[in-house]
Amino acid sequence: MDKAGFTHAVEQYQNTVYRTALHALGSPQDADDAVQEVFLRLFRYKAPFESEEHLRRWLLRVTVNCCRDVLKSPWRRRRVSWEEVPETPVFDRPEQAALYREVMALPEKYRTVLNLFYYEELGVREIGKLLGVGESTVTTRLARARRRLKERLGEDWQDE
Amino acid sequence: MSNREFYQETFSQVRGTAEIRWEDYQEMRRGKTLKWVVTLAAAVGLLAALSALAVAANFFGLRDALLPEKGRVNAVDEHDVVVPGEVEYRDFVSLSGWRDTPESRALAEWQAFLDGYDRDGAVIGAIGNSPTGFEEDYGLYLVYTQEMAGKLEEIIARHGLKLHSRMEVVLPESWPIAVGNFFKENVTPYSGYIYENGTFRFDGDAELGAVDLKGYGTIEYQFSRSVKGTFDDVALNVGDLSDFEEWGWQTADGASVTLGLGAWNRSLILADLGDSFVLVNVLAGKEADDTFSSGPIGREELEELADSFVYSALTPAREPDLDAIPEANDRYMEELENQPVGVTPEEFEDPLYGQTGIQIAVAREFLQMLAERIEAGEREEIAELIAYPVKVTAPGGEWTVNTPEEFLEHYDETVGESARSLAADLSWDPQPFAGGKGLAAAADGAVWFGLVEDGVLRIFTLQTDQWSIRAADGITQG
Repeated sequence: MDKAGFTHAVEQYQNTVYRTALHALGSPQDADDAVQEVFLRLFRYKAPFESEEHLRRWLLRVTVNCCRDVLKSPWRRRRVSWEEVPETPVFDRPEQAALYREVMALPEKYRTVLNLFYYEELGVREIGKLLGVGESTVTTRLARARRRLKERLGEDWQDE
Repeated sequence: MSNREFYQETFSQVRGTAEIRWEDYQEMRRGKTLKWVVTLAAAVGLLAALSALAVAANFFGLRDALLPEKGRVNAVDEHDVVVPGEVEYRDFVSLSGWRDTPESRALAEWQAFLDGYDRDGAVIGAIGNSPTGFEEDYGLYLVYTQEMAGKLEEIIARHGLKLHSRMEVVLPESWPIAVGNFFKENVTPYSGYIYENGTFRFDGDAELGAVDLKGYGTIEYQFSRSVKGTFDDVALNVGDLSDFEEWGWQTADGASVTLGLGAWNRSLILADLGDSFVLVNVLAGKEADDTFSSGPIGREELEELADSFVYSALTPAREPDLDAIPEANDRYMEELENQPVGVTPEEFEDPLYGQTGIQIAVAREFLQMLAERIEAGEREEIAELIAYPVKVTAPGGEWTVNTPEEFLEHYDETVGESARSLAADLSWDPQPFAGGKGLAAAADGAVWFGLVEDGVLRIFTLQTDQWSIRAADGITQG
């Protein structure tokens, strides 16, 4: 990839990659690392992208795979459970901070599905393909995550 | 504001701090090491380090797996959010075997060493993301200095153990290749990993009470099998072991296991298989909510889950063909890519999913939620679940209703009038609606429901002999 294309991709999608990695890894520091790794792979990538959307989905796929690699590392595997969640950044409104806290308190498999569905607006089928699980698993994870958010956020989270 | 807008508005404010520059990658290509944002120190800070708090010795059941010292974890508030700077001490159990085995004694010693080593992160902070030189021999352990390597070697030599040398990720369909068929049909394993000696771990779920219309539903767990003779550095935080009710159980295939029914979202299954040790961390307990599983469990559900695994298939422990696993993973991914739109082969054989796109467990959960809301008289929440507009017919008249607020005016003479019997009927298993249209039906046609968008369910019809709520312009899905 040439410098102009690379710089454009960074400007356009760095936050997309970061959010996806943060949902997967639950740690801002690890997510920043994953961003550098993903763009290193883009730097080395030779094939052209057919469209802007092709580039975005390629980055999402590589981010998910990078995070899977991180999750299997010994630095991460020691933490079998998920009691620990990162500190909350500053948000415009308290209900946004509450949403962030509740999402980050969920296990990784729920966080990732929420991000891909609600933020990146991918369909259930594509999320399943990205994560290597069936659509029914994605649907179940979404349903459980939504229920949890509804319980914890009350009226700030709509029934679906 | 929709949930999607709320989510996007919130997470659009979350941004990373990494500086990504073309020039940096060019430098790296020329042979210089790129200095990543230092994270290893942070990772060390997250480790469940051991404190000096000793716990009383105990010799039976779950306590026989307890590590001798409590572990230090970050404190959380009532919303499970970390309280900065505060720590708590929790009971930890070894995944490798009972506490007096060489594997668990080695783990306790290693944890105690780590707790006191590089506590301020200065050493690892100086290393950053540079190669440590210990990756080849100790890549599967937390080792980044010669002192750590020496300590680890000393511990494993003292206890006669080996180190793990290789690990592979195992995707859901690759488990039979990696380990064999060690679970029954009600079990679904997700992705996990396996080591060269046959130690493996994965997250999974299981359907319990499948033959009973009012069965429990889905239960989630983390499954660990540790093969003895090799050092494994993972310990599990179990909170307070005194919260567990424990008993012995002989499984369907004759294995003797120890069961621990926890108070909240955690229960345990432990099995010593001779050359390996199984620990299942079950994400449900006596007072569990339905975040991870279908709700609270009792002894019967934990025993049924314990019966869902074939322990004899794990004995004797065999070394996996690690080269065959990536190939199986690739085949699995290729199959996923080539599947027809909308269904996986397993789901294709499920008539409800095939005709409605609704997975059976999701449909059951939806009905259960609806029944609970009806029984509790949660009228506003019920009104939100209906696909509008609907035609409401009751003894007092007939109305076209366009919003949840309008529906509430008719709640008492419809749903409210027969809440108890309607809620009881909703325990019936959902079936595809005979008239097609992509809807599911339950309770002998009392409720029809379907997807209005990916993963979102709404009621299209709710009816009894006395009243009905029906989609106003015929049965249509958005």
